[in-house]
Amino acid sequence: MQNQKAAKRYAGTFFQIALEQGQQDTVRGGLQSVAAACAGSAELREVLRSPVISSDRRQAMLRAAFSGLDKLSLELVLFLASKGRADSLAALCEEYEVLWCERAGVAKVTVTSADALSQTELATLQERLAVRLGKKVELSTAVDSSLIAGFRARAGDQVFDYSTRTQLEQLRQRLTHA
Amino acid sequence: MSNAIKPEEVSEILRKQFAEFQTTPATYEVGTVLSVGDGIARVHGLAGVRASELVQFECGLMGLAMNLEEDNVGIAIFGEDKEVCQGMTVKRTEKIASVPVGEALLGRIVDALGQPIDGRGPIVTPHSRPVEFKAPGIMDRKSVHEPMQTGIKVIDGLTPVGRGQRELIIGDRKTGKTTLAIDTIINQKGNGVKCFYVAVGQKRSTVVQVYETLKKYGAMEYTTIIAATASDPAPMQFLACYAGTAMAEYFTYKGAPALGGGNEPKGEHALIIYDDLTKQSQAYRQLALLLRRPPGREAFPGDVFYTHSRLLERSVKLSDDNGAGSLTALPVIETQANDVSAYIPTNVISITDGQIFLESDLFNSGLRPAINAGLSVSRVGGAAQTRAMKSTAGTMRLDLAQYRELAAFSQFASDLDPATRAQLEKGRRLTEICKQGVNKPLSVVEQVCQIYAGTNDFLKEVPVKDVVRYCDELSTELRSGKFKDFAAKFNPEDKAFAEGVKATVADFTKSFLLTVAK
Repeated sequence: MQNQKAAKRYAGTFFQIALEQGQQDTVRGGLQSVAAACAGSAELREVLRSPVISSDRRQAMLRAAFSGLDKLSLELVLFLASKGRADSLAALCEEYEVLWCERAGVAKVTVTSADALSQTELATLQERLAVRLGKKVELSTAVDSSLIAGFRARAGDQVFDYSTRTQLEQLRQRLTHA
Repeated sequence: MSNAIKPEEVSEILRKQFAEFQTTPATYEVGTVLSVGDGIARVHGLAGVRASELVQFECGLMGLAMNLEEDNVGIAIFGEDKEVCQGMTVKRTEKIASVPVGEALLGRIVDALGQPIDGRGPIVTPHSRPVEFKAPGIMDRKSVHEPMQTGIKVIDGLTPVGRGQRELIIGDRKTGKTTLAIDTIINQKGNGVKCFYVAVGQKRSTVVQVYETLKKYGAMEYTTIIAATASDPAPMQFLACYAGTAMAEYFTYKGAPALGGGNEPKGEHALIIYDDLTKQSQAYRQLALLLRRPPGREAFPGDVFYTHSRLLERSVKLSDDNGAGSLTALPVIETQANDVSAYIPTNVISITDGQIFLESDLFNSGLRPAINAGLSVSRVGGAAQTRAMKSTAGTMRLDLAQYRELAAFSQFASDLDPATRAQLEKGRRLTEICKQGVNKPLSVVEQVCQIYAGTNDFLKEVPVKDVVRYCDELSTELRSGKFKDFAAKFNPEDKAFAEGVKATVADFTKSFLLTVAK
């Protein structure tokens, strides 16, 4: 919980800085790759978290690991580490993404369908959702056969449920509680 | 077999249901459980959730949104929190907690959500009401003026309760608080008052006892028991009182369409017993502490006064425009070693329109109901007392108070003047008159005659030990003996009631003294 709050504050400030320098998109790319690295590497997570590693050593390691990052992103990551908040890095990347989406008017939607959707279906879906949400839509997909048929789209806390499972559930409720 | 099930009809009904059913896409808001424990879940997301909205967990359990914080929502779970786990999705229902209400609930035992727990099948009712309801305003009310007969001599005589009043029953454990409440319910038989008994934090066996007693006296026909027992989670114990009030309000507001009630010409009368509010506030304290609300005095949260005041403020006597229904509340508070200056007792005493004090010393000395006549008051009930009772019992409080003073004083004096001795004798008999058996509520005429005999010196010749028998036999005569006709014709609002009562009591005393002489 504490990490989350700190990450929120840092993300807000970092986004402000990136915005002032007109580099919010570059930083977003940078932080996305950092987040991917965090998610993918258990060793990196250990380095970020471990109290055994000294601050200087950690910064050196991060500098080496993220040498491919743009200058501003790298500076931000190192700054975070210098403040002893390296363990909030993953949370910070998430928060930054939220801020970026808000600014850019982008909604991230996860579509879970019973069967994999074709490209044309996804394109139509994206179009419809964009109208409904009034934002640009970035889709990510998942397959869950327990939905039986149809799909379920989740944008933030909002869920649009067109799955057969839910409809059957509604029918059951109606028949048993009517 | 006229009501045999026809398969084709069933199929037709089902077909119709299916045809009517439209596959509307469900749009809802969700959140994710961050942590769960002690009946509280912290949920991330649910951005639009409203305070005290019902939410549904993926496993089917319901919850109540209690704390809306910056980055999470504190939810009280209605059920076993073991079924809820981290990462589970939580769905908004966009409904404020509400319970089923209506005639179908009478005679049933339900939990805090209105679900039946008596094993007698589902409750089918088209009506429901939100558990939280704003108490009606000043103009929608009327002052209390009709009596709510408890059937207990001391209460109806000294601390009368009116319909729409809140009268607190307060005392230590084992002083007869619940018995008073149950007797009051039994006494409502045949006068159309619907009764609701909310059992909070009690043993299940106690609830069964109450149910059996009420059933034995035919009182379950017009009574609903709302039980949130000690084994139920704290949110249920907290909610039960509000749920019970919602069920009672259905009858009160029957004639008040302007206040969201029914469209009938008249409202009905309801009586609700909260047994007890001490346990309810303890459940609320548990909830509040687990939700990390700052603790105040005795570790209760800051708004514990408001939880009780908004509950008791819902007791009402509605104006004639609103159907003139009423909701009378008898909250119960259990004290520790007669300490009424603890936090919750003082709060509830200040909210209610009077209190009935029960004391274990009196109980142990054989004065039952163990009501302390000196400390018990009713602030509005006087206006609701019948004329007969008001003039008969008018001097009783004073007589009893003088007797207590003299009794203490006379212990030091060896010889007393005749006037003092007479007063002591009268006081002794009046005290005996106050005694009444368990589950034996008395009608107005019985009460008036017994108290009349006491206050008007008819008992002078009757030995103190025979006073209880005198009362019992007088009651029997009035019910089914030679004064049956007098009792049937008795009108407590009649100005000249005293003549009949005087003649009856005199007649009875004469015949009673003959049995004493033997």
